[in-house]
Amino acid sequence: MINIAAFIDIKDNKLSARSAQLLLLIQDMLRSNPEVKSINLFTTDDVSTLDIPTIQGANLTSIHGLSDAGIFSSAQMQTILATLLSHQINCVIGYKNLVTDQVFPAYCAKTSLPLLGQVINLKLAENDIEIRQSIFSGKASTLVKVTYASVLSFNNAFEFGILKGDKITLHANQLKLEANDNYQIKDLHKASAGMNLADATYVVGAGRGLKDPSNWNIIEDLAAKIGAATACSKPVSDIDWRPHSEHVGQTGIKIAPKLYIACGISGAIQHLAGVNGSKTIIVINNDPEAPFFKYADYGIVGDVFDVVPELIKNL
Amino acid sequence: MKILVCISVVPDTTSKIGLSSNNFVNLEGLTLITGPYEDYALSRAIEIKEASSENVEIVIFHVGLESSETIIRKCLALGADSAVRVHSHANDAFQVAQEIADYVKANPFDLILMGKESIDYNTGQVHQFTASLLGWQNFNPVMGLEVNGATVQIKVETIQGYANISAKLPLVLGCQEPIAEWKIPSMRGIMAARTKEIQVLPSTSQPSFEYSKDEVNEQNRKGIMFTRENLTQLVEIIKKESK
Ligand SMILES: Cc1cc2nc3c(=O)[nH]c(=O)nc-3n(C[C@H](O)[C@H](O)[C@H](O)COP(=O)(O)OP(=O)(O)OC[C@H]3O[C@@H](n4cnc5c(N)ncnc54)[C@H](O)[C@@H]3O)c2cc1C
Ligand SMILES: Nc1ncnc2c1ncn2[C@@H]1O[C@H](COP(=O)(O)O)[C@@H](O)[C@H]1O
Repeated sequence: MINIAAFIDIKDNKLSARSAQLLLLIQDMLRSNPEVKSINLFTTDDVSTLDIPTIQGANLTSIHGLSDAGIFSSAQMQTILATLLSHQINCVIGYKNLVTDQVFPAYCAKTSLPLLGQVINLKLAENDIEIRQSIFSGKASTLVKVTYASVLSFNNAFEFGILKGDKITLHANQLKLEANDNYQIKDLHKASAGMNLADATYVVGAGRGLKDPSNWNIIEDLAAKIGAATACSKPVSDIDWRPHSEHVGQTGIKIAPKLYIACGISGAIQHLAGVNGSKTIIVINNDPEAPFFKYADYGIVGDVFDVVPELIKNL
Repeated sequence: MKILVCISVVPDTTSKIGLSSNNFVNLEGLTLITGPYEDYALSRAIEIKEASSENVEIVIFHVGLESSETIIRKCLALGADSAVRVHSHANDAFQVAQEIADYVKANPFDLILMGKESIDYNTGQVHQFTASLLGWQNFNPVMGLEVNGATVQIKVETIQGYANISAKLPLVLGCQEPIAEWKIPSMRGIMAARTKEIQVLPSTSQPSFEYSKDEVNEQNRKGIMFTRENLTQLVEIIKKESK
């Protein structure tokens, strides 16, 4: 018997695009494996009702009491684990994020279910799942066969299909966690950049080629034109031209947008390791020998201070 | 105070990844390094030791084979006091965490520092696994750390920005920049490291699952170049791709 738990995100009372992918996967799991008995959706977002693609018998739990820092105390974690155990959950799915990074290992440590991380693709059969995990920051992948009794943490690049068909409305059960007594939050700072980089659909990145932090207005304007988040290379955040939260690459955030526009970035292998999940890459650099051009779908040899304003004007 | 710094040993970030005849990634001949995030963890541990008036002991912990010993020796040269290597191929995060937890149950520590994630499997799971097995609190990714007796102040990245948090030891922390500056070993450190102990322990854990095979990603990018004169074509592409 397989009881599935999916950790989903809700924005403005709607299922996020990534969470919709999880529900599509569940629909396919139901078709592939007759042993799947229950579907339990969990979210740490505040929700009372939610429309989802039709999955008969699905239930939804909204978890309250997670601190603004997003970190569960040990006691809160025990409550969540107890809830999962009470539903006899033995198959857990979700995208890699702050919540799943805490809950998944904790549940696996308790139940000894195998935890597969960085899942970018999978094939469902009746009794098992062939998992493809991204390894070496996207330079390679590895295949693992597991049963449905597994915990899968998806890489942001995981896509299962296109949402279609009917919807049903779920009424959420409310799960209140005890107060956190493990730590105190002294203060919270919101990053000035409004968009969550790891989740962004479009990203404009800039590097040392911008010469000075005061020149970032053209990057921000280009980003605003197409509704993109802004990113930067490591040296740019090391010298505090931009906040660390914008640093992408091997030692920074790994992004997987539909479009990444790289301006004045040389394309060092450590930078590529954070952006190789992008569907389309456009490179703007004044050096025709810049390594990034070898990894670009579209490139233009030109001065960012000329090309970028021209793009903004015409978009 | 005793700090355990857990390190993975991985190919240098510039390495080209290829496969060996058994269809798994071939690490032979590649330059190995400590994971860059673990460099931050170790660097911060060394700074804490240097700034403290108390006795701070730093132990390096690694699950891996003999091939890792030069890298472990480098961590000792940077200023760690001793090292423990569990003689086993590190297969997965749960297995590594079990080794760490078993060691810490037998040899008490106040603080366990790790990287935010390893750069081979990039899963960022070992810390939470370890914390769960020990019943400790875990924070990740940590960008700042100050220790005052049994209380620590940490700066942790959140979904929207960052938070300054006060918590009590013992803790498991996953580290990332700008928690510390990467350090370079001194000549004196390298000499001193020669006589420091690397204890080799047998493995107590089992792999959690088996890999069937690896594949190298061929990134097939289009590589279409535009000139300043046909910039309008690039504009059209951006419009199309950002719809
Ligand atoms: C262990 C390790 C981890 C690392 N992790 C990361 C990481 O996570 N992310 C990361 O980004 N880097 C990382 N690095 C650093 C990486 O190796 C490079 O040094 C870095 O990416 C270079 O940043 P950049 O492209 O902004 O600067 P540069 O390499 O200096 O490139 C600037 C580019 O701008 C171009 N340019 C200059 N002027 C103009 C102009 N007017 N118009 C157009 N183009 C112009 C130049 O031709 C050049 O190509 C790491 C390094 C190490 C050793
Ligand atoms: N083989 C290993 N031995 C010791 N510590 C490790 C090992 N692999 C990973 N770690 C630690 O666990 C952290 C997270 O790794 P991971 O969960 O693999 O991304 C790393 O940054 C290291 O600090």
